Amino acid sequence: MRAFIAFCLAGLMAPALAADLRQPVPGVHALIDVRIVTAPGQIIESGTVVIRDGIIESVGANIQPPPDARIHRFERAEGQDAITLFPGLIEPYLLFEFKRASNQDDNGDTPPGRHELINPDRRLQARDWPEDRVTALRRAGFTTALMAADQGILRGHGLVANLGEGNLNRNLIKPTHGQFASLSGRAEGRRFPSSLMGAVALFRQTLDDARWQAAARAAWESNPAQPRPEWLEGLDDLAPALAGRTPLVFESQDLLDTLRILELISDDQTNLTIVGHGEEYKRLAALQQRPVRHILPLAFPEAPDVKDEEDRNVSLEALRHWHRAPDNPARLAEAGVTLMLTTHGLSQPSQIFEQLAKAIERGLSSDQALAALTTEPAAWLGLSDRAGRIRSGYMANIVVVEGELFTDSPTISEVWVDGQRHVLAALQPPGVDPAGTWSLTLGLGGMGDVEASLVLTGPPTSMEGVLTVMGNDTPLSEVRVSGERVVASIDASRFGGSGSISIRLDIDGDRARGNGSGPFGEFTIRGRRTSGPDEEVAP
Amino acid sequence: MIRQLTLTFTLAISGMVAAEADWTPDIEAWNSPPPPRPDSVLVRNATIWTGTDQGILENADLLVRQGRISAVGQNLSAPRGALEIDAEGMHLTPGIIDAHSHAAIIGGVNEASRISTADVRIRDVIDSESINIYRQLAGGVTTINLLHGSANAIGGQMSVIKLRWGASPAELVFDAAPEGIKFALGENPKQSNWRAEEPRYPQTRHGVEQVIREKFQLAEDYRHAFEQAPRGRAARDRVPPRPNHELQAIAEILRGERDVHSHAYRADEMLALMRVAEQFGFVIKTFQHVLEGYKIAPQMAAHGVGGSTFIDWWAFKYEAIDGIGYNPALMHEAGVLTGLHSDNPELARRMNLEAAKAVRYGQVDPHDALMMITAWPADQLGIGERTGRLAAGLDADFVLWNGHPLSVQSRVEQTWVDGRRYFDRQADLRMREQLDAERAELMALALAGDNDGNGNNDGNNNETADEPARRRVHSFAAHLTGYRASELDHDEYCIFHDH
Repeated sequence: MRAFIAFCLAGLMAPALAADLRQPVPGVHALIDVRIVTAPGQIIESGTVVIRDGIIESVGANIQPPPDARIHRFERAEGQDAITLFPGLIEPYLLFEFKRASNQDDNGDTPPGRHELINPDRRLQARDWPEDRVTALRRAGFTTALMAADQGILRGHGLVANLGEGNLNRNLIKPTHGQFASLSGRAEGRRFPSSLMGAVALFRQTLDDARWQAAARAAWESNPAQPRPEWLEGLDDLAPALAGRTPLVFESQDLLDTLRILELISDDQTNLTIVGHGEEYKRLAALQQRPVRHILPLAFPEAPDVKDEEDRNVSLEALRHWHRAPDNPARLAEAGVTLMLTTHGLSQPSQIFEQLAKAIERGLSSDQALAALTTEPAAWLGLSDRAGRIRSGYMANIVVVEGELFTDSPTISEVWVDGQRHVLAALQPPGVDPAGTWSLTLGLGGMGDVEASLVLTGPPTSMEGVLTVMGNDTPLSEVRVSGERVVASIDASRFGGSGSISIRLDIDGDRARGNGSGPFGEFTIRGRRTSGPDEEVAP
Repeated sequence: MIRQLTLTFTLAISGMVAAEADWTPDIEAWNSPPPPRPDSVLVRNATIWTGTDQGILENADLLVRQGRISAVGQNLSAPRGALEIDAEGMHLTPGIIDAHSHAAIIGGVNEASRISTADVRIRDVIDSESINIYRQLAGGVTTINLLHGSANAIGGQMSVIKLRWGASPAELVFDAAPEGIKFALGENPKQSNWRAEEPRYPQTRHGVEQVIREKFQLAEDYRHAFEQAPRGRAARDRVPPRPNHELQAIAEILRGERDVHSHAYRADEMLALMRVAEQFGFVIKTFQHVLEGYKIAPQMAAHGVGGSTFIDWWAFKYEAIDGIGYNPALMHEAGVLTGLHSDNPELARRMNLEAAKAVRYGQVDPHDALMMITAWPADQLGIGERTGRLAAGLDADFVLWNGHPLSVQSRVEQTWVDGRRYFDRQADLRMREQLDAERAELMALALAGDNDGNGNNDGNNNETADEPARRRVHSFAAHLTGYRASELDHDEYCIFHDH
């Protein structure tokens, strides 16, 4: 939802973005008088970060900005939270469908000798660059990601890239990292494998085939006076993962799948990383014994809907899991498992913060959370010397946050990738006080007008509001005043939609005019203030 | 009678060590603590069905030490600190062994694609979380053989598990059980009752026999290739033979390292498979279902194959029309190692009544009838030296019934596995109270919409339009059959009937 507002605002502000002006871009920046979280637990309360040509040149409390730097001073109003810089977040598990499986021809046919679900040689190509996913992640504060395909049992090589503008050519960091696997793959129709145990058998046979191929080819290379072994296409690409030179990134489907993977990959050589499922807390003993590194999703189940009597046929198992799921990250950390966090499984990357806030409430420390999103994935990706911290010599990947990052809905105002500034929500100090009751007319185009009333309470820096439409009171999930504009959002599920409805209102005295957009389309808003702030509600 | 039982139990419980009395299972396996294992247990004054030559012993005692049966007999004395159970009026039998089950398999019971899937392993997909495990304990079952389905001539590798509710899949596996594999003959492998988009070879019974014969030949060649391959220093710079997990498993049959348990109905195809086995020099371990076993019982006895059958399921498809209730009695009389199986997670909860029917059809001696669900299926699975009987040295897997075990009016009071009380009616009643309280508490939290779970639902709301309807159907079907909805997802055609 934050991302959505950000999106709207970014759209409005687009002319102000340097990149879009196609002018010479100053490559030297100094972000001054800011709070800097340089790494988990390491904070400079007031300092400066100097960026030169995409690299952090210096960081510290007493840094003199160089004379050629463009100075970034973050104005803020009285009572507004401190502007804090965080290291750019790292997404260790960005999966998407590659445009065409590399092992299929134009007709979608699999060549003889290989299985359609076995693609260890698949690589992301420039044409696959997931522009939309990259943008959404960047708006949620992510600046680097490990990307891989989501198809098949052995899915191919991962690739590490920054999440800046432009394409793969501009953002590539490492062309390969990891081999990706999952036992969820099934062949279509009645072909093998059609069951989970079939998928396991295929996986196991493939690994043995790859080991055999390496040995057989080596033997034949040194001794050609014997029949040449059959060559199995694609399997040579498994060698780095089998030798432990790159991680085997195994996506687990559920509780039992994790145990299955631990048994399947039990050798010391393989560098196993498991992508979790959220129920790890249920059988923690296996992970206590063997604390395999985890990439953990945070898609906690929604609250069961038990408002009506007939909806209460919800199982105890479901109730329990709903209640305990937010404990999971802290429980895993306690068990000694090295954690990385992922937005995988969330419909929007920005939702990670709301989920993370729940996990932190249940015992995960903010430092653990930050490490799981920065230093841990950086180390795992082999980027500890260039990513995951705000430190001189590192990539200038920085998130600018108004206040704290780990809240339900952090205010991320800028994201810097490779020293390139992306303004998300350049919030200005409030220029008006819109508190009071507003009588509004929502213009729904061909569907006519709807009357609504909006009550805004509190000071402009921390407002709350309720929108009443057709007798239904709906709290605003977010209200901000930026200059003369009120920006608000509403959870669209309250109206049966998904995502959020965003509202922008320009205030001119007691008159307001603006527009809104949501899953149901666009609408216009106009109206006027009918009464001042309610004395009883204001503190 | 009821008062007497209550008294018996009050006394029994008061004699327990504290940990014993407090143990309560849970409805979810991962949350169910293992019951304590007392150093020694003495069950007194029971009617003991031994499953051995001793037959039924009246007023007898059973002594358990360190999870194993230490003695069966009269007037045994309790070691110091022993947990004593007064079983006056109760019957004590070996734990029930179900030689044909699919009750705890996740992600599909059949790998229905190829005609031979000897490379797939039930061991990989044991569903330790299936409530069937707990429910079957409540019916006195202690060991089950998880078999692959019957969609192909050579199915997957089986896995024998003990019903240690709460244990992980690896911990459920019965380590003493020899390896085995499912075969299937007749309508299912030849796809009589399901239409494939592309018909699969074979489509006839003799085609099935031919495929099996060919696979054995290939496996023999495979084994030969490995045996001929150079070893040690000579293997240097030599291309090794390529591993093939399917042929590897079939080759293990030929080496006598893997037992064949073959689904079969008709006499002719069973004779054919026995001939194939004899040609390749091994013995089929059991025929499963074996409805026409009575027609060829002498030939079965001569080959040495066991018969694992339904007692009164017949005529549910064409190849089952000649099934008769007297089949177990007739096979048994002819000297076939005979057992009764469930093939169904619901039926498995009342296997004692299947045994009772063997008395009804063919006047099998009641003790022999009980052996058809305990000692003999254990022998069929190659675990008769460890379980299935009450004799010194065997695992303490036993059941306490509140009456005659072959009576419809009797029920299980306690089921012990490895000297641990995994099912106990009193503990079960305690659990129900706890679960009700927990549910009320969680429901109140959900109603209060407390912050920790009251998220909007955009996190994981990607159901398709017909998803809720599908789930309702599946949850209903799952309720009826005891299979999880997820299993029904993967198993399209043979979950409700025979395998």
